[in-house]
Amino acid sequence: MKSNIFITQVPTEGTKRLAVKDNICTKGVRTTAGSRILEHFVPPYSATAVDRLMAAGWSLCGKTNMDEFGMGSTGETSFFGATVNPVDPSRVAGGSSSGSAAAVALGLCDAALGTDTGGSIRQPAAYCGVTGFKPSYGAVSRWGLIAYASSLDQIGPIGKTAEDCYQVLRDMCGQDERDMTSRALPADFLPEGLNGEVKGLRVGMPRECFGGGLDSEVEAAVRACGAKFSDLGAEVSDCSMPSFSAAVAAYYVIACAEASSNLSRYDGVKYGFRGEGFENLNEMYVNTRDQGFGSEVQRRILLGTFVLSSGYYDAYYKRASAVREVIRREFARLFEEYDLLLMPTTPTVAPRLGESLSDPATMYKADLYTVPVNLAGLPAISVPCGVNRDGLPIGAQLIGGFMKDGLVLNAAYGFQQGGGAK
Amino acid sequence: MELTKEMLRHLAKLSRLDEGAAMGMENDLNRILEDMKILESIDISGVDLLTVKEAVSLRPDMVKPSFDRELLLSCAPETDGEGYFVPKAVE
Amino acid sequence: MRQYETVIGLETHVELATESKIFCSCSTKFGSEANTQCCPVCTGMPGTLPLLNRQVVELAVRAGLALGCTINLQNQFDRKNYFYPDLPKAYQISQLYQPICINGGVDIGGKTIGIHEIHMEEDAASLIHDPFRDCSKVDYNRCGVPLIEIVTEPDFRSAEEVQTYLELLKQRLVYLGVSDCKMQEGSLRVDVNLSVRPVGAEELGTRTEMKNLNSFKAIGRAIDYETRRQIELLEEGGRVVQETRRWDENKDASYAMRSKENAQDYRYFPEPDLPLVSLTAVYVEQLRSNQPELAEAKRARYVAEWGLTDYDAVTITAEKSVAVFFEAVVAQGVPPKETANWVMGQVLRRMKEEESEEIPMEPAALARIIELVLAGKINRTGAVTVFDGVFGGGDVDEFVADHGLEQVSDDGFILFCIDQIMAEQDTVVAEYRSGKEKVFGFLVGQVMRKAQGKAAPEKVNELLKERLNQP
Repeated sequence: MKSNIFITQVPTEGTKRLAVKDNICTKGVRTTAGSRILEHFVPPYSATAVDRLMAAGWSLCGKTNMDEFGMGSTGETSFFGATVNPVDPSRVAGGSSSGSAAAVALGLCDAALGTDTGGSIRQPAAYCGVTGFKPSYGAVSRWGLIAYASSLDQIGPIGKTAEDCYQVLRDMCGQDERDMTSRALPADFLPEGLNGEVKGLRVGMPRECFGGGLDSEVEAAVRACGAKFSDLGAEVSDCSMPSFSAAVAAYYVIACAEASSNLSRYDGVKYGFRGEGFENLNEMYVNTRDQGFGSEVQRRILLGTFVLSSGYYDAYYKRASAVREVIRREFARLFEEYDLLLMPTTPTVAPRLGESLSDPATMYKADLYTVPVNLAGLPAISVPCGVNRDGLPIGAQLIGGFMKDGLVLNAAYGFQQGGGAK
Repeated sequence: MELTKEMLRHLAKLSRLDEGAAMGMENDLNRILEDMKILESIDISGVDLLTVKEAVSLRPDMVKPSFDRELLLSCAPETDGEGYFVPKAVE
Repeated sequence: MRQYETVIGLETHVELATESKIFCSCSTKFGSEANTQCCPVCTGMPGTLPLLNRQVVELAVRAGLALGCTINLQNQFDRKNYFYPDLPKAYQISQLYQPICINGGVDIGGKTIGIHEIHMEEDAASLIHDPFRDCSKVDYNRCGVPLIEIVTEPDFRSAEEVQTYLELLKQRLVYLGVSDCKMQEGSLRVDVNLSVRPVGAEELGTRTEMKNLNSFKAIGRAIDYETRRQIELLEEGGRVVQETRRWDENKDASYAMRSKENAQDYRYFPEPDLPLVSLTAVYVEQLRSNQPELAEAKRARYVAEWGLTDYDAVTITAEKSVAVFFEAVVAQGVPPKETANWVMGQVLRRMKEEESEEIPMEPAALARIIELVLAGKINRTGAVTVFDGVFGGGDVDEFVADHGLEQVSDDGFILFCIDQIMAEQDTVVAEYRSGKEKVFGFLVGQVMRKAQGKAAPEKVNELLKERLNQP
């Protein structure tokens, strides 16, 4: 496929066609995580989320392309080639749920599953002009989700609208006895139906999120979104998030640390790719992993190994974990005063292909709006809120308090029903 | 914190990656680490990480049928139908 | 030559006696065909997650309480990262920063051995070397079997102290039902950390770690060997290298294991897939209050309540299976002392013959035998025959009947036999009546034979004497 959306296509006749990101295990259907090391892996089990969705009448129409193991912000680290942006094929679709976002944008499915560790649902949704939702941590089972960073990963829906996302979430959320990090959902987790009522909702816009580096057209579109909420009856005001600037650093320390451990199991012993040209056990390990993993994955493994290593653990991993808790508390305090926070999803529109990977440090900094949400385990959605002068989509991000997923979806629905840009 | 080539070689050994490839990432990784200095500027006093975690729920001690061996081994790179083969593991 | 003292600490891995593994529901049964007790979780497949077994926590707490430890109400799991084919996730889920038990102690008689900590962790797979292919084959059956690791302070000063501690530890853990502690099956594994220092020195010497010690005897020999080796090294002016050494049974020596890297950095960090293990004080107190009775308590009870001697009590409680059997027989209502004799005699004999720690006999069966003996229904020789006959199973009364072992205490039958013998042996009878008392035994024997073993000896004695003394 020229636009490289599906890694594996599954012929289906169903009316509720679901595209599933290729790091979510589907029994009997190849699941690669976008990597050579799992290129031929066929799992003998399905993720709980998939089981529940199939039982609710969804049918699998394909496994979508993604950045390798979820590590990337453009789709370009996929072993199977990058997914291009459906609006402008010279640009990236975003990452890591690139194929899922593009598939929804092109109508190749009725909804898609993505995963979000540092923004991997919300960001490609913003770049592709669709709606992407990351549930509260623990609301959707991680059983069968190929782990990138265990304390940050969540499966979530991508659809044309918040309503589509709501339908998918309803069918898959809920505690799973196979995942001890999954939670019992509070009674008010999701309403029976969305009513779009936003009157009286207190919406905060953190001023630290509207600083330098933010593209002016993106800023304008997001502020317009805020104005729209005001028109619809919400109380929109300024607020502050002092630790906001440290979130990217904390995220990459923690995510890479957990990833370096989660990816150690890919050693060529029990499943997946086994390297060539080895003469002993150690060479088998090294050849397997050097030949099987792309360079972004290798970079993050090295970084993660470093921040956990003896002599550096306290200064990096332990400190980042403490900063994470500071950020979580800051959010909690904000949510005593506000029902929602509104900010951009990304600082720019989709970059051009080939521009990002050569400068990873800069690429990482572009995650600044999405990663704080994962650190705190909060629900967040990206909704299309306009396009720039070249017609490239812009996304606005709404964040809610822990387990307030219903409130976030309802507000997004209200915005979209009230004439907010689709 | 400066990562040297020697440290990278050690990190590659620990994570079973290619040492040459690792040493080639010296510049990128050091730039990334530079951006992490901001963590030192956040006040973390009063954070007790042990109490932050939720409590685990426990599984009852019951045996459920294991997976079919054939099914498990169908994923194996090298097998005789009974076990997984690897190059000789030296004690 | 200077005088040296040996300083030893032990790390003991104990497989817990649970039905299922620590993080999945696969069986922990020993000895099954390779890779038939596995699932995606214990083979580390992508997307799988650990599910903590509640019985593992309970047994770890029970062990900690019995070893005098403080229970850490909030404890957590950590990942220990390293690459080896027996570790499918390339990390072991263990506990480092907040283990479940700390600061305990075990009295080995005149001295307390400090327990530094006890933590829960998962066992690794087994590797078999395939000589034909010259490679290793991995069997994940054992992978995920729950372990507790018991780490002592370096408080031991001799192999004898180590032996005493291990015997006591094994007995306690077996009595608690925590583990069956069979070294030959790998459910008890001991690593020895040993260093030497001149007598009187405060600082510890450099220590080595010894592995692959498969019996208490091997541990003793290894301690002696390593002590000598280290002392010789130091006396020659050398330095002990901190390393792991593998004990070789056949060569009766230890060898440094080839280490692939200079230092192994396990990069421990809290396991993100498992929330905190959070216990309440109430939970711990409940376990404390219903701990299974240990050997020491049983011994005291046997002596105080049932009047057994210390020797009897020690013999019976040496193996838990024996003590449990003994109590079950007594519970049927038979006298404890009589039962004790049977247990220490016949039961232990059979266990030794069969080289087994298990007792297949029904406690009710031994109780019945004892009843019959005390009621005079069978004699002691017959009783042993019955015992051997039903040790592996079977009904006592049926066996007695089938083998005609029932004694007759019917006077008529015995008198009939006596009269017959007195008639046949009239010369001997005359000898007895003329004062030759020692022929009495011969006559008793003849009557017993005539009665085909069915006559109660006491009755024969009584009635024969009466008859002989009648004119």
